[in-house]
Amino acid sequence: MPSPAGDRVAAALSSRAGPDANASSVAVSVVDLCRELERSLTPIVGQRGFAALYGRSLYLTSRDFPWIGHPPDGVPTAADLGALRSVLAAQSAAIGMRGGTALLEAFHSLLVSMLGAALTERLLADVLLPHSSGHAAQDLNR
Amino acid sequence: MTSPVMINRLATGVPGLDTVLAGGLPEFSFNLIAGPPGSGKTTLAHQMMFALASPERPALYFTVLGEPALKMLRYQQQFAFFDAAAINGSIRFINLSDEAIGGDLDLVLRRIVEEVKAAGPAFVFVDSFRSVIMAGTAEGAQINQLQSFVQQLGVQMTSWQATTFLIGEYFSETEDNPVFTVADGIFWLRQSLQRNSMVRKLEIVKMRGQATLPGLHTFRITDAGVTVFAPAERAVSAEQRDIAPSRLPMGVEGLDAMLGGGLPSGFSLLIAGPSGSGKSILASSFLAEGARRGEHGVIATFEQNPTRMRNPLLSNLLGSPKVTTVDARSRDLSIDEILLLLITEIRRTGAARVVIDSLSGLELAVAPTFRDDFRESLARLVFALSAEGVTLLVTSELEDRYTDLRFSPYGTAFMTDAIIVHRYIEVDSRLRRMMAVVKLRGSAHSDEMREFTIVDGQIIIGTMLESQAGLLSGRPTRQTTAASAAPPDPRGLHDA
Repeated sequence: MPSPAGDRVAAALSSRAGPDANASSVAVSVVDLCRELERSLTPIVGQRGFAALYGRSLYLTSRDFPWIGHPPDGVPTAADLGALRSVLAAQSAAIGMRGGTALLEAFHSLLVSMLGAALTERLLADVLLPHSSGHAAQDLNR
Repeated sequence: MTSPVMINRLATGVPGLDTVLAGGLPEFSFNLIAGPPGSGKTTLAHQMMFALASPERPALYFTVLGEPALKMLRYQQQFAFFDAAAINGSIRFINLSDEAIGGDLDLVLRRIVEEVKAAGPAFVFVDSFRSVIMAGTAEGAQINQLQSFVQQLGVQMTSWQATTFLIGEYFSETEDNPVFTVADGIFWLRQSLQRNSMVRKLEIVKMRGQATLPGLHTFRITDAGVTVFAPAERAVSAEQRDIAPSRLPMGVEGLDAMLGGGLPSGFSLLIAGPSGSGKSILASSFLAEGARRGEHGVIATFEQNPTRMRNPLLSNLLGSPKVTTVDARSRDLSIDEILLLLITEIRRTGAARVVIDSLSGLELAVAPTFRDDFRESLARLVFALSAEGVTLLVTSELEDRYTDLRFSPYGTAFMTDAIIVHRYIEVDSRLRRMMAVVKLRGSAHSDEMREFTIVDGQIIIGTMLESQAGLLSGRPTRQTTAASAAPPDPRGLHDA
């Protein structure tokens, strides 16, 4: 059953990837969202702190989507989002979307388990919003 | 212009701390919050930050290599003062672990200054500062580099008009550390351990520009955060209290006459006697009489199961709105904490009568670390309550010793204005009770030793046992001839 956080992630990804999403645009959208999470959280938890959270999310997601890969051995100093982009782009758009959604949802749930829903919402307020990438509204009457 | 600069004092939001700081925290001060792990440094810092920060006067909280920020946020939000809505608004957390991990103090300083310039915060917190220092020394930083770093930070933060807190784990005040010299204020948190009891204590070791209250002040960390038990401020001057010392009826027939017309208001009275002699019943009667006259009463009891220990009169009183109790059953209490509980309740209810039942229970309730100076603490408690203008009744267990005459344990007799003593005596193979007023400061009182009984939970004062001699020995003998001493005062009173 999809969770509310999963619905929001899927909505945010769909609006960013656009109606004619292909594997490449899905990969770009997922990685863009990850970068926004990184930008929001790194000032608070540090680059290594973000890498640790990302690594854990990747590990949890890989149980259902083995193709997404495991976190690298050792202690990561930064999240390798380039690798994520490559594996996503190698899937079909639909599978990439499901895997990307699962990864972002796992990340969100991990943060909620640590900080609670209220503070997580506060920290990620600007990230998981549907992206307004459509055309600017036009006046019909001139 | 000769007027000196006015130093703005900031309310810290920590109950009791502003009193210890003699009015609050000096604005733009450079402070150190020090103490061993688990002593409450980070909690104290957060509580002050949430109280001080506002959208107009934001705060920056730099985390270095101490507690991971995620964990800190996880645990700090358990406290009532934590406001998630303030995060990324009036409060911003900035992680400096990536800068600090290389051990380059200049890089850490540069980053702090950049962030402060960009955000213009009114408050800056650096947690944990010890980790900054250790990161520096790990890379072989010289002590003068470190001193230079701390001084520069102090200068920068003050120039940018930021009130600053460095939070750090320091185990010794004598540690040769340049931070101690540079800091305007040093908050030292301690944990005093004795057997399995732990008491938290705070000391303001230093605060430039103001006379803080010296010494160790106990504090407690609850769901609400830190509460410091500052010494009570005097509420009513002794002069004010002495203007009209009216007399309070005790609620026991005959006892007012023995006291020369009742207990002078504002007095402290010690009821000393052996177990089961009726001290608590007398104390309850005192409160009941007050309630009957519309006066509010407060009682502090220290039994772990107060309901079971209460006499029926007290149980009924506590069911009425006129008598309230303070919950003094927490572990490891300090006298200051009990005093704060009492004073808060006295001020809330406007109480005129206060009962502490009993000193023996109180002694067991306070943490072992305070027992060595229990007598001094007790004197402070009595004087502070007296300053509140209330009339205080304290009961005290007194082991019956028939070879010497004692009126109180702990040498407390001098602390109270009045003393009533209970005693068991053996007459005709029966254990009987007697009562006498042995002290009433500045006032005439009865010198009679009166027998009393307890009937239906009420004290009934009887007559003197004139036919018996040697009552204080506990085993009086029947007198066969009338005493040839001087005739007694027909009122039964003598001057104190």
